Amino acid sequence: MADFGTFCLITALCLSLYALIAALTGASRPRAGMVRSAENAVYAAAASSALAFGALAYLLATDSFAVAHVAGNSSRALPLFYKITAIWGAHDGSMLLWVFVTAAFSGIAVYQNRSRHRDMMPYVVAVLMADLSFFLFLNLFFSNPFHRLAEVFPDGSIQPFLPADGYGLNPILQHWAMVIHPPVQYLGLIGFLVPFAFAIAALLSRQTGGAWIRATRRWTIMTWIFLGAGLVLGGKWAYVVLGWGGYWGWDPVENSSLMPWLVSTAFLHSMIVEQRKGMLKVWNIILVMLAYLLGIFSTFLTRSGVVSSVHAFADSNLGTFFLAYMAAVLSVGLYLVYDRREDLRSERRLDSILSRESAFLFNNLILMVACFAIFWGTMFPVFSEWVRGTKISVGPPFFNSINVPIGLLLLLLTGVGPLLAWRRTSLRSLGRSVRIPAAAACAAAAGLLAGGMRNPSVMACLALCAFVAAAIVEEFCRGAWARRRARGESWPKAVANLVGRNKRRYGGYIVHFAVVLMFAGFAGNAFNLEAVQRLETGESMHIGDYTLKVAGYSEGETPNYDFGRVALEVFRNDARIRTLEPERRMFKTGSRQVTTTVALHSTPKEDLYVVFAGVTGGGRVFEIRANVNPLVYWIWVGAALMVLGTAIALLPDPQAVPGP
Amino acid sequence: MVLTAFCTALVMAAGVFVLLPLFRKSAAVADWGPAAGGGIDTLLERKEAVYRTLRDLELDYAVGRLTGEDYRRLQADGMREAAGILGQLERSGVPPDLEASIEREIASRKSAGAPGAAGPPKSSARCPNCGAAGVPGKKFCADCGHKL
Repeated sequence: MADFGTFCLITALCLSLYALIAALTGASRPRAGMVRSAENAVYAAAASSALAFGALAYLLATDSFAVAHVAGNSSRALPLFYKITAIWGAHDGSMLLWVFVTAAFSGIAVYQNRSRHRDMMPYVVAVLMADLSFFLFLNLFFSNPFHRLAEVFPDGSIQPFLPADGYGLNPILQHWAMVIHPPVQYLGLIGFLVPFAFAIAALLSRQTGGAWIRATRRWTIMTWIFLGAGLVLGGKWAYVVLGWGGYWGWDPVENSSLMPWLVSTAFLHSMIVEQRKGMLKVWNIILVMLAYLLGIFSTFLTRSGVVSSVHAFADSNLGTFFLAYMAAVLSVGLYLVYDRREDLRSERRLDSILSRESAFLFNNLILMVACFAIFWGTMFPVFSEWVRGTKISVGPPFFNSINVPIGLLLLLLTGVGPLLAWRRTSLRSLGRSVRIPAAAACAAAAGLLAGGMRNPSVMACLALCAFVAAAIVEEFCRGAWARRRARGESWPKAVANLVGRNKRRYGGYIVHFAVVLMFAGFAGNAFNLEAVQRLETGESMHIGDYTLKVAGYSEGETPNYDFGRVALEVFRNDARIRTLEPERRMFKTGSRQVTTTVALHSTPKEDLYVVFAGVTGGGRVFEIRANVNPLVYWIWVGAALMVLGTAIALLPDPQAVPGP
Repeated sequence: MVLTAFCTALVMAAGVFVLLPLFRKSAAVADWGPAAGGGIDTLLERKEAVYRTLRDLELDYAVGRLTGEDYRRLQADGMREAAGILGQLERSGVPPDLEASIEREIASRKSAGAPGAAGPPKSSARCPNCGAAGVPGKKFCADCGHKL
């Protein structure tokens, strides 16, 4: 089966190279048959990649420890779903996952457009297959997960080696969030390949009238939400598994996924302007190219060892290839933008600063500044080593100092932008629109001041959250009220029909409301509490309004690990609310790593977060670390609402009569 | 042996699937050029974009985000653009049934008055002084102050 997997990778590489050449040939001398042949090769390459992926899954499921990747990342005691997770538990397998997703997306994109955009499709196929060929080349010759283990004997002979059991999966990856986080993240990082391919195709075929945006609008939105979901899942995993009390540490790999999300958020909004007004064409080409390249950059950072990260795979030798590929793509892309600059001229001029177009332009600028700041901070150790010979890292204080004000600006724009009309809004109209949101913001600020809040960033954040939330709620209320007056509908029906007839607009508002909830959750960070104490059975510790009392200790084992568990009775203002049982797990395979399992009591107001940090005193003294993290709950709620709002925005709007 | 035979069969099947289109009669070269329907597609996309903008405009006016003056100005711009696109479609030879449906849509907008069918209630009067459409529930014109 390992040989079959390698064979499938070789076949996929040959097919993708054929598709690339055939597509370009078919485009240069328009021949439909050649282009169809290239498209069929895309399907065949996708099928071959899927077979390779399936082969690795089979090897893992059947404990084929003769294969290096299986022996290094799985074990007999591992549950089946973690065995499958082990596909992406290490560098080689995760590269195969990248190839599989790329090939699948290429096949889907070609199938969706089998009868459309025929003038662009040859170039789309060429770009898709250039990307797939690159990753297949790396996977096959530098990261092949189907390599077998071998034993070298003193006489120089080499024989296959079959260990009795595998090394096991990294214990910190044995969590539900890690089962789904990498595939979801890859869907987001890889998905921008398709809009990028269409953008290049539009430039090459001189179809810069916006058809490429219309062809890829849903791709862009779905990719964006997958990327966002991947970021949130990663944060959730860090929160409940790593046990340091937080969900975001400005780790280089975390940052490398955030950057394409920021750029794609800008693109998501900016493409609306091109669709409606024929403006920001150069911006959109550059943004989609950056979104694609930053996705490649993210996997480059994870695999190259350029920066150190808790998320990174071990050093591999692929860094040079990635850099060369990114440089080539960037060069070709920028050249095409320059060469086709006449085709990319805006169809209109910006009429007024107070317009939706200018709000989107500001949005682009702010998000690009944030992206650049994060890029600079992430790569600073590399730059400092080049210049000074020593690696100087920057940490959360640097990123927070820049991104907190940028985040507040974005939040303000989230509130004000939708209040502006296309082309021009009079001050009078704007004044009328901001009355209620501004009043809500002032009321929130006054309430916070009265409550003793003195942190200016938190006050600004929560006041802006009130502003944006009020603007959105007012939008729903006014729209529903207009429908009630016009058609006599009940409130629930009016709101449902309002959203149903304007899904893009109101789906977008729901996403904006989700952003408000998440920002409120982020603001709670400023009031985190932490306490560490060593306790014996019967003793208590205090944190915030909570008292934790050690009720008992137990030990046990599973086929995979031994565990120790402390039972803590939790009291809030002297009333018992529940028992929490944080654990320490000692894994039996691999590096015999010890991990902690966080015990969490989550409420809308705050999370009580407890870690069993260690045992001393002959097994009688337990080190307990407790955190109180306000408002974290709203980050996860906001993320779920963001997915819902995006799903609504993806649904088609009716084409007929306008109005609410 | 079995694996070799299976792989050989897979390669042959893939080869037939990939190479077969080369031996089929190709579509006309003209079908692959940007002129083949691309111009009309672009016009239809622009028409859809203009209609979407007009719909947003009516919604903004109905919920009171825009003054009457802003609304009339922006609507006039949008209608001019829509009319221009319809003219180009007519000159490009858009099929009559399609063009007729577009014209019906424009006509229904004009006959319904500003805003569209689901804009301010049909019962709300226009200002007898300046002609601006009344905002639902208002007693005085937002533009000139005349009593409605």
